Amino acid sequence: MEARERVVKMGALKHHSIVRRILTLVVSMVILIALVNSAVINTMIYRQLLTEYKSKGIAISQSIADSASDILLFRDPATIQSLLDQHLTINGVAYLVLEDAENNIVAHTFVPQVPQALRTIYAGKRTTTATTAFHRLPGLGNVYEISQPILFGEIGIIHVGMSLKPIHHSMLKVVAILIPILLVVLITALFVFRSRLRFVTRPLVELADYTKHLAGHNFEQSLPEQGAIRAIAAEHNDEVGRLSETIVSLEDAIMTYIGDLKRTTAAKQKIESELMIARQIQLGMLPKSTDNTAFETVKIASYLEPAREVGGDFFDFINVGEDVYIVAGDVSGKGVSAAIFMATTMMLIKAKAQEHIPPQELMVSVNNQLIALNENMLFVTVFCGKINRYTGIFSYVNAGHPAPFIKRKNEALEIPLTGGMALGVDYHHYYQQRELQLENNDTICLYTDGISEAMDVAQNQYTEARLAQCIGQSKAVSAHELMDDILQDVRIFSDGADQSDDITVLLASWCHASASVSSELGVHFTNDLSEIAKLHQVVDIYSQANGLTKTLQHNLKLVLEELIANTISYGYRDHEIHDIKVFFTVVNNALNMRIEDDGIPFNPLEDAPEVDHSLSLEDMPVGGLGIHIVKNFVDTIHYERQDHLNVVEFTKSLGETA
Amino acid sequence: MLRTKIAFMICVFTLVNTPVFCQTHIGASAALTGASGVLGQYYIGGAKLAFDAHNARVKLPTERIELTVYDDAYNPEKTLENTQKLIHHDNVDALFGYVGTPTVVRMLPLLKLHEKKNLKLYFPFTGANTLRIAPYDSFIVNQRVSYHQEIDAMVKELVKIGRKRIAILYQSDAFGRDGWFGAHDAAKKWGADIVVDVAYARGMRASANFTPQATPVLQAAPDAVICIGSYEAVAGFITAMRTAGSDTLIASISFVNPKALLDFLPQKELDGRLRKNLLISQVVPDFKEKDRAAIAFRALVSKAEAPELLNEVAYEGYLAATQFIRLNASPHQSIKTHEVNFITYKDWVWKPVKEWSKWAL
Repeated sequence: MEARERVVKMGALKHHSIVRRILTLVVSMVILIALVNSAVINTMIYRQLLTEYKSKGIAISQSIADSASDILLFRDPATIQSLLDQHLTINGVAYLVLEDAENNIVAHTFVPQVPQALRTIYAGKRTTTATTAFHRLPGLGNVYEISQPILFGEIGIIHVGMSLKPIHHSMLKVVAILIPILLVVLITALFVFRSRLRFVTRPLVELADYTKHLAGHNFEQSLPEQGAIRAIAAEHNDEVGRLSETIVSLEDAIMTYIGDLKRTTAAKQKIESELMIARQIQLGMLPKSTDNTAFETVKIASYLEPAREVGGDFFDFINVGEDVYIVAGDVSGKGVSAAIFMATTMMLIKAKAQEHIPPQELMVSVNNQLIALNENMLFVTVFCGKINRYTGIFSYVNAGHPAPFIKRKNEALEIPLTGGMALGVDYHHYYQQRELQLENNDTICLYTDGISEAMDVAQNQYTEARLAQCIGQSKAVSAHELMDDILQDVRIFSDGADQSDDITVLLASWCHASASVSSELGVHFTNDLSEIAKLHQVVDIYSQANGLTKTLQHNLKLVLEELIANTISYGYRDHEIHDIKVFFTVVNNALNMRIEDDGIPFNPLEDAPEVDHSLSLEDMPVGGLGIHIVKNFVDTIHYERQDHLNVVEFTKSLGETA
Repeated sequence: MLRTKIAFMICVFTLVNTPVFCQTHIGASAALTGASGVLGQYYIGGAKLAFDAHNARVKLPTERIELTVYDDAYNPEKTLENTQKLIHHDNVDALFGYVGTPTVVRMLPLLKLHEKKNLKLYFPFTGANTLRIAPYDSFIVNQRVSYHQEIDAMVKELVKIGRKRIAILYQSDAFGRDGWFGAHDAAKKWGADIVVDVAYARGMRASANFTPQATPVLQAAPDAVICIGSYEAVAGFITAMRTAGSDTLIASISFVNPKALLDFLPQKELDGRLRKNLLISQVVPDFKEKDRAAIAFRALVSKAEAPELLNEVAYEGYLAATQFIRLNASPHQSIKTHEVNFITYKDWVWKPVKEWSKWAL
């Protein structure tokens, strides 16, 4: 069965165009050589025979001419005719014609008559020397004629016609012998070629099978046929052998490669997985969407898109007291090392900011600490600024970072540099701080060079100039809108080109506090105790906006902190994020407050423990004291469970406003 | 079949009569087969009647005349070979009765070569002129007139009856060329025109295609055609002419045996036109005459029970043999020759031409 398949494959291979072409080429070459050979041989034979015929004809004519003179003079026509007839028996002699001195044909060997063509040629022709000519005569074909004068033509002329047919016959004989011989040689050669072809094609068939199996091979281990192919390589010290060796080497190389690839892929997948986690961690370090609540005088919009999984860009904004720190930075280099350095830098800045120190001090401190940790000689450009949310005074230090812009109405003002060097470079570097006064609705635009050096498909840079133009021409009325405009302009510019660097934008807009808070205010808080600071800010802003006295402002903080901290601490049995809504209203010179939460049902007026008024203030239990303060502060207080909400409402007369 | 039988008898006769005494031994090379085979059979057959009768009559063995015959099939090269054999092997005293011009012309140099032996050729069956002129005339003894004389007589008669435009059919060899030349001479002499001459290859049988020869003759539309050829070729030519519609007068010289000619011209075909307007010149008297020789010949034919020998050629052979016997006995006697006469086919037989006016133009 296997043998039969092999035969079938052999057949298929024989019909393969290469084999057919080789066969055709060989046959064509042999035939061509045979034809050329035959042509050359025939031409040589023809020339040789023709030469011999000419000399033979000349000899015959000369002989007759010599003997005919006596015969013509002394003998009768019968003897002459007999002489001619004798010469006619010589091979190649087609005819003989004897003319007398008057050009009369006195004897000839033609039957029935001398052709008219010859008669015409002979008519009036006299010659004293031998002449030759070619004639084509009916029935005789091509004839080479020698005309020999007898006794210088005094007696007559003898014409001897030598037929070229014997020459043609000789040539045909040669061809008739050559062609069978050539055919035998050709057939023998083809037979031998065919046998040899089998020898050559057998390994080719095996190679074809082997390569076919290679196509579907998983390359985890060698194919079973590899042994046979190695044997072919060893047997054949020729192209087939080398081809076999090459294909076996190819399989081995592919196996090695596939093995390496699998290991590399697994390692890469692991690294990518870890990088994805690192990315999430890194992005998680960045502050979430800003608190764009109505009370905020500083509103922030931010965006960061790393070029790789992790990047060296970062931004931050930190509320400390009445100030907001805004930071944008860019670590030299990219990738994991930059990300770690960025995290370190960011953490140091965040920690230092909590000390509520001026940016200049912050930068000096961070610089020193970074240098102490910086064994890899990395550095980071940082812009760090601090906005007083009430006064709009903006103090900043620029440590090697691109100069930010301030959008003021339809202008983009470049924030002057402070001449600072990037952090992590020089331990003794002094960072100069500058200050400027923000105007109402000014928006500070921090960015990294991922924006200004963004490339289009023609490798042109976006440039600071275009960024300034974009900022200036933007019709945005909020930090978010301006950010969207900037990002859209950059994307349009670099459409089609790959992102080459991390892109970071941080926009902070400042507005005057009184301009943004009305007498009716609703604020959302989450169930996080850190929200208490925000609560204080909201009360401060609302109080300033509505002319509440400092005392009232202080007491209101106490009451709200008591109620809300209580809800945050004890109102929830799960760990989910919940909203706590606080509504401020001033109506008829009275402050109405309403607090809603979706915590467990709790009526602070009743469920809180009673306060023993006989005890001193220090000895009173904590829980009861808070509700005691609340009840003392408010004019009226009311609790109600509405659907799934606890609703506490209280009022307080404003009395004389501050 | 009959001809083959005769040829065989002749050869047997030769072998049986191998010379043992000092008899006269003569040799012949003649066409016993081939296109003119009948001529040789008849001529030698007729001669042998005379020699047999002579040998039967003489008492001394020395008076006997033995004849050795070889067949050359009318092939000159074979004639040469046969003659050399007769001279060297058979040591013949004389050569006798060769048939045909090209065959005799081919062996002539041997006569000169063996001149010292006084070797002569007696009475060859040919009228070739070359045998009658120098340098070989002294080696040959003729009883018949030459073809030239035959043709001369023929042209003279044709011109007399107004047939001056003459065509020639001739055999392409020495014989034909001799006759051709004689015809041109005669035409010049008597004021006739040779309007066309056509040759045929020696050895052509009656059944061969003679259209190539007939066509130019028909185109020339001659008053008469003179044929210098063998009986078979002439028969073939006559057939071609008659088939083509020409009934013109066709005259042949005596090399054509009248009886053999008729064998190839069936009376039944072409309404008998094949045998019409035929003339043959004769150089011996009619064997049907009542002279002594003719009577003796007919008696010998009858005695030999060979009726096929009752013809002009056999009679000529017989006459040649009787002359040789006579000369052998008395070498100085004169040679008897005969006038040229003509026969034509009429009323189922060949008859002497008495009146030419029927063909007058």
